[in-house]
Amino acid sequence: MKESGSVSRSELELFAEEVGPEGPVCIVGGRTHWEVGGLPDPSAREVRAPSGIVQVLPDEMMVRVRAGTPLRELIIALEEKGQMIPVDVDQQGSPTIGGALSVGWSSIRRLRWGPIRDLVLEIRYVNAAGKLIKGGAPVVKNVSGFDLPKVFVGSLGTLGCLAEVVLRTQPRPRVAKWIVTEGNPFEIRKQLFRPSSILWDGIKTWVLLEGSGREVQAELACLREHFEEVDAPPHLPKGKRVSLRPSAIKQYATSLAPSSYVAEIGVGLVHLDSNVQSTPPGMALSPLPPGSIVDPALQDGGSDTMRTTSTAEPTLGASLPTPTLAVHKRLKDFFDPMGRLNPGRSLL
Amino acid sequence: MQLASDGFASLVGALQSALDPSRVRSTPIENVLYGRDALGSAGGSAGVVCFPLTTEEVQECVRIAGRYGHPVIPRGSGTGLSGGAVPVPDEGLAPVVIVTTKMNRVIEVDEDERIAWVQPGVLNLDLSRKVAHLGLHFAPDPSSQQACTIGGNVANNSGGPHCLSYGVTSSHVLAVEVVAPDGSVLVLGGLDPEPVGYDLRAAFVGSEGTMGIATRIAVRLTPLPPAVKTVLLGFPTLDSAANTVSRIIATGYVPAAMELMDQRITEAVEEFVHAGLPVDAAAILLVEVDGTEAAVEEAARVVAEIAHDESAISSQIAQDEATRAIWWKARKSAFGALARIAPNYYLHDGVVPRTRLTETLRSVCDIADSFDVTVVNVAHAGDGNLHPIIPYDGRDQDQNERVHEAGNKIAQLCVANGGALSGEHGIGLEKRDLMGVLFGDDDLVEQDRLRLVFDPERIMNPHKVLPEGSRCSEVAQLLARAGKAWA
Repeated sequence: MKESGSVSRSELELFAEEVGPEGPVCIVGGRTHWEVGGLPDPSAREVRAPSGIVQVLPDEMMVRVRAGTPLRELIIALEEKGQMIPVDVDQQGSPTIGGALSVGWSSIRRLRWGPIRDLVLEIRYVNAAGKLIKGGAPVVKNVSGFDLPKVFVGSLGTLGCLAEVVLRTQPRPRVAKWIVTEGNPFEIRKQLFRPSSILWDGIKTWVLLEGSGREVQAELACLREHFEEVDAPPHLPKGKRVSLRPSAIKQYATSLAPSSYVAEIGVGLVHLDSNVQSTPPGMALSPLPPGSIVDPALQDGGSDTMRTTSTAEPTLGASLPTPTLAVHKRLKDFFDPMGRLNPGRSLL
Repeated sequence: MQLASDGFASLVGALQSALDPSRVRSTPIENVLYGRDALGSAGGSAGVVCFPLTTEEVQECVRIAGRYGHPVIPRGSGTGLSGGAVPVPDEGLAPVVIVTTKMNRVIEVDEDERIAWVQPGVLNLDLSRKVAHLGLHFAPDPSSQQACTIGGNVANNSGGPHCLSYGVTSSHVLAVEVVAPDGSVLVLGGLDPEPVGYDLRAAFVGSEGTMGIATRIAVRLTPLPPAVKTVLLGFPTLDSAANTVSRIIATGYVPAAMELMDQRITEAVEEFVHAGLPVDAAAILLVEVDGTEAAVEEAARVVAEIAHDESAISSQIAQDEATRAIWWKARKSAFGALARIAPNYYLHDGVVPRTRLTETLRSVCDIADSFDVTVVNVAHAGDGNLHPIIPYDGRDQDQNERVHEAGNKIAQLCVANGGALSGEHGIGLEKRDLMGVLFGDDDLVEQDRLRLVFDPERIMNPHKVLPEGSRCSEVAQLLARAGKAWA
């Protein structure tokens, strides 16, 4: 770890020079989710963000870290200071924090701790013109200007190359306990106040409770179902994940074989093997209340609330309504007029 | 400003044809009433004020304004504190103010999913009251929550005392239906956790009316905690109060709220609310912990122990809901109570790293002294969000100037101490020209780039947030080449 307080900008400036103002570039993290959004154009020059933890500030519940830092290194550094960020690391590969943010890969603990985008307080990135840009500020609460940091989360490196980020951290819970039960996951959610995660495979329900010892015990006392403690959550299928409004999971699960999936209850994500059919016909998942005039596709029960970040198949999402799609496209066009940032990758 | 011309009369006529004429107003009274927001010190003039009821009516208003080339100013209850809703004429053209307060229906509440669709004019506290019987609430709770609208909360990414543990508005908004500056209707975000495309919802929340007008909002509802304990602590010094805040965080407990008030504001509030506040203390802290019964007992004990260790001169735990309610009323009435000190006040909203709160508050007092003005302090101490308030007499021009110069110095101080210009009130007009203190020229151009994604014609709430010189010429050239192709 670098000495506390030493913020060497030259490393970031060197990265900006490497990205430069011309020619297609492709930013590389740990390649653990490399196919998300499509493979980059082979002509693109590969660049890597700087690595290293600049400052861990437990009193501020913040960390400043270079985007190329391996997630494991970051997690360990935070643990040493009694802090944590809710991110998951696979057993295989070496994902980076910049990669996790670019893909928008939220933790299975999102139910309590929120999506990964809510961690980001400040970003420094290299824009399409090769300039180093700052967005946000290193404070936990800030409305000084537009929220560029959150817009970059999940943008697959198509708007700029993340160089450094400031993240909000949390005190590491003193107790973390996984339990498993055959109880109804939707009822379990109602019984608990702050579960960190509720996972369901159609038969069993896994629950993560975190906090002080008394806090976890108090939550367990609220459970009406029989349960057993386990060491870890179930294995998550890695093929693809489907994003649904949380209440749609129950209906969606009826089309799947039990144990062929793991659903995040209260969140709306379903993890599937790549060979599982993931768009049952006839599903109506309107994200808008009745009477909306917004777009015919949604009124027809279109499935734009469903997408996968699959390694095996393209995005399932129906097309966005035309005016909304136009704004998404303008965002890309205005931030990358030459189309040089991660060409070949697309969110749309 | 163009008010009396044939063109303006034609604009008003077109708006009156689109809406009920009684909901399109352009008398001098409305020009003045809707010419300001709660900042007070910045005034504009509303050309014509519209009160739509539906998304379609908002669309009509925006399209008509666009057809006549007039700027559009979105407005909720006007409780904003940065001049964000002040109508500023653009190239002499009178602004069309679109007020969303009559769009005040809670459209749908999904108890199981803990989501509500609301129109933008629903008052913040009204939504929480409406869903309280379901054991739910809307977590962002700005002090103005009895009057401010959820549309306004979205525009400003509002905070409030309980955002320390629950997060600000952006964390509680899932999707927004927006009337874009060209009159089209957008849907940003979604009820699912990973909606397709870029997170345009995040761009829109906190954009201060520069990117469109929210017409329906899907908000996340948060369970009411099974147990709450509220602790009121009095300290002999400001330092000991601030140290207590840092030490509580260091233990790993993150309270739901930690609010600080200095002695002068405590005295003013106590005279007004009669809440039993310890007026002999140099500073008080209102700390609230929530969760399960066992967890709050434990957390409240830790808070009390740390406060005792920091020489607290008084420590009380609210024994009933009535006591808790009056303590919170005292905290949330702080700004109003200042009328007992002076007819006007200038409220700041800087934010600094939590550990630099004490030194920043000291420096704030030094700045006040150097400009010969009085300052009182309220702070969301857990977030490092300070609200120095300078009471003054706005009729005195000399005082006016000194107060605003002191204000600029305080904002610059927050940035110099590693913080930012605004924690929750926004930039608006008030701090627009200070944005260069926090950001470089290229950073500001990049923010303008984002704004232009939504509003290439710059008709929506012009002259707000970004300094006039921060214009993205690259996008302007792209637009010039493409003509309307991007629309």
